[in-house]
Parts: sequence; C-alpha cells; structure tokens
Amino acid sequence: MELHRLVFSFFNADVASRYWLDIVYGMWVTTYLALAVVVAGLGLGLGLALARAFQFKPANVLIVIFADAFRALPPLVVIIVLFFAFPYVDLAMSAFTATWLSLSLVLAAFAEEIFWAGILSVPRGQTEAARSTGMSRAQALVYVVLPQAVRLTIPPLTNRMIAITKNTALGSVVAVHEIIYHASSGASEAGNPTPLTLGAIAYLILFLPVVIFSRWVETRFAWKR
Amino acid sequence: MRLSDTAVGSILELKGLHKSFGTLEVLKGIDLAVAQGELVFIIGPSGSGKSTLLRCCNRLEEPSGGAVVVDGTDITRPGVDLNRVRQKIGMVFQSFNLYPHMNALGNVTLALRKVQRLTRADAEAKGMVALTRVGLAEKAKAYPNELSGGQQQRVAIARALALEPKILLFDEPTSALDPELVGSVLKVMRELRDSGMTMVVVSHEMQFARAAADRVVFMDGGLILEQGKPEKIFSNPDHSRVGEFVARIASHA
Repeated sequence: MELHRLVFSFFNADVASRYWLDIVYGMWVTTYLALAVVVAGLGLGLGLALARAFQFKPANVLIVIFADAFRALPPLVVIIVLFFAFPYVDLAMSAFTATWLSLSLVLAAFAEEIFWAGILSVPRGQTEAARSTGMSRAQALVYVVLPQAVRLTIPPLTNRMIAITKNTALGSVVAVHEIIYHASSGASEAGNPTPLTLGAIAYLILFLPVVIFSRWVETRFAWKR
Repeated sequence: MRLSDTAVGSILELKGLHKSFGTLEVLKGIDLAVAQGELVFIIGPSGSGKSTLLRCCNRLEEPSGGAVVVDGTDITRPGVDLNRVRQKIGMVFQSFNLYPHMNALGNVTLALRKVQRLTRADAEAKGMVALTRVGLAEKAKAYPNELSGGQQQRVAIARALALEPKILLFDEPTSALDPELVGSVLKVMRELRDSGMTMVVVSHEMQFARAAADRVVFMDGGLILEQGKPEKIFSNPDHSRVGEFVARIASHA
C-alpha cells in the first residue's frame, strides 16, 4: 500500500487550501442553477399535466411528443444544441441560460409524466363526486384530484429532482462556473486531483440534506386510505 | 319540447331518454316523472340501465337523445349552466367517493365554499347542520379512513344534502356495505323521505323499497317494463319477468 501517495494525490492540504474558495463559489452557482431548474421544471411539468387533463386532442399530442422527446434525449445533447447550434438561428444564450433551460425542459418532461400518472391514479369517482356537487372541471382537478395525485408523485418526483439537479455538472461542458467546472480546471491547473475530492465533498454537503429530506417527505406523505 | 308540457309538481322528468355507448344502446327511450316529495325505487337485472339512467339525470353521462327536465329546466339544452343545475341534484354513489384528503366536514363544505362561495364559517355552520341530520356531528373532524363504510356513506349523503338539493339520486348506496352497516344508511334515507326529500334510488334493498318507496320502477333491457306501488310490483306484477326477478332477489336476501 502507498497510502501517502493516495493522500498526496487526493487529500493534498496544500492544493486544497488553494482551491477550496473556488469550489465554494461553484457550490453557490450549482445551488441556484439547481433551484432555478427545479422551479421551472416542476412548474412547467405540472402545467403540462394539468393541460393534458382537459383532454384537448391536438394539445395532448404535442405534450406527449414533448415529454417523450425530452425523456429520450441525453441532457448533455440538449445543452450543446442550445448553446452551440441556436446562435445560428439568432437565438444565442449564455452558458448558464442554456444549461438551465435544457435541464428545466428535461425535468418538465419527466415531471409531466409523473404528475399525469398521479392524476390518472386518482379514481374517476372522485371527479364524479366533485362534479356532481357543481364543481367545474378545473375546480375538481385543483381541489380534489390534484392534492391526492401530488402525494403519490412525491417519491418519484424527489428522485427525479435529485437526478436532474446533479446534472447541473453537465454545465461544465459549456463553462458554467459550477462545482465540477472549478474542480476539474483546478485539478488540471494544479496537476493534482485534490480539487475533485473537494468537489465530491461539496456535492455531499449540498445533496445529502436533500436526500435525507426526501426520505422524510416520503414518510410524511405516506398515504393511508 | 316546451316546458309547459311538464307535469305540474314534478321535480324530475325524463322524456324519451336514450343513451348509447358506441353501438350499445343502454337506454331505449325512458319516460319517467318524479313528483315533489316522491321516493321512486328503480330495480331490475344488472345491465338493464338503472345506473346509466341515474347518471344521465345530472349528466355525469351525456344522454344521446331525449330530455332531462329538472325543476322546470331542460338540462340537456345547449347553454345550460350545468354546474348550477347540479347543485340542485344531489348524488350518492355506491363507493361513497369521499375525498380522502379532507375530514368529514371538509368533504361536506368543499362545494359550499368553492361553488356557492360561502365563507368558511358559513359553510361550516351549514356543514354541521347536514352532518347532524345524518347523525355524524361528532365525526366532523374524522377522516374517511377513520370512518366505517356506513359512516362514510352518511357523510356522502350529508355532502349532497348541504347544497340543499331539490332531489337526491342514490346509486346502489348500500351495495358496498357490510350487512350490519346497511341499516344505519337506510335509516337516514328513511328520515330524509319523511322530511319530504324527493329521491330516486337504484338499489336491491327490497325490504326498504316495500316499506318506504312510493313507487317501484322495474327496468329491463333499457326500458321501463313495469311500474307501480311497491305492494303491486312485489306481490302481483303484470309481467312474469318482474315476479321472477323479485323472487330471485328475495331468495338471496
């Protein structure tokens, strides 16, 4: 065993002291990129699922095509297309915007399917009972169906949110200054992979609470009928 | 069809009601008038169209033809405010369909608050009156999963009652209940009938029909085959199909 070489390469105090501030800055960028993706992705996904509940055929076809396409495409490809190809059609955007938009669209596609599955899982009798008391279709959806659907969607949604927010690392490809960007550029600059270790620690600090929170949420919303 | 054709005093009138699902014709022309304060019982073999008939009365199923006149308004006319009309027509379902995420009072007051736009306090006052009528005031804060089937169905009745409907439709209200819980629901229905509520009930509770119904309607194959006083239908029907059906149900009861 050559423990001292492992420590020198991955846990180098000297290198760490030079790069930890960059990583902290990256954590900030990762955090607000992730939050922006979650807000936009869940919002759009929920909106699409609600629109789909009104069963207007042409709209539904478009929603399904959108959801299937963005669930099939690798997020990295979407980022690259938005960042490198869209300027040719005069739709240039910053690396941050391209990453945010790409991940939001991918999350929206998954979230739409999850919300839609949740809406479908609520028995039809619930809507019928609500409608029989004079509630409109929208009221039945908002006050009766959705609260039940959302509970069922929380476990798959939190998993999907964790997955997509970790994909903020893909932003490093187009030079968004998030954690991985700083970790890998720091590693090549120093000729030592310790900044990557710092990056890993940063992810643990950011995401462990989210994972633990999602566990709590799952038990909190566990459903007894 | 002009409204003046409507029989005086009828709350619900079906005129030539047809309903098809694709090529399957479930209702083949139903004429039925239900008078104010009347309790009409609908019986018949499964598949005869009883539930579909009931569900056409508030357009949970869209009639394919004919008219449904509720309190003087043909609700199949285009431009009818269905959400307004439905408040006059309470419906109670076989599977209760209580909202599981709300307590009993929440179930009863939701439409009062969101449809009739009452304040929470006013809605809750009305809701408590309705829950008291079904004998469940003390269960106002209980969630559906904490209530027995019979209690759930009574909350569902209160939910319909709270809107002060002109008529209540019951779609096999006791079929999903354990036998020992049926009585509590029938008792509430009996009290409603005594208080003058107009009711149309699809059910196999023949004893109850015999005791409480003003009229029994026998449906077969999407048509009304025979109707009359319960004693006539149960003891001396004109059609042998009716007698056979009644005997068969009685032997299982």
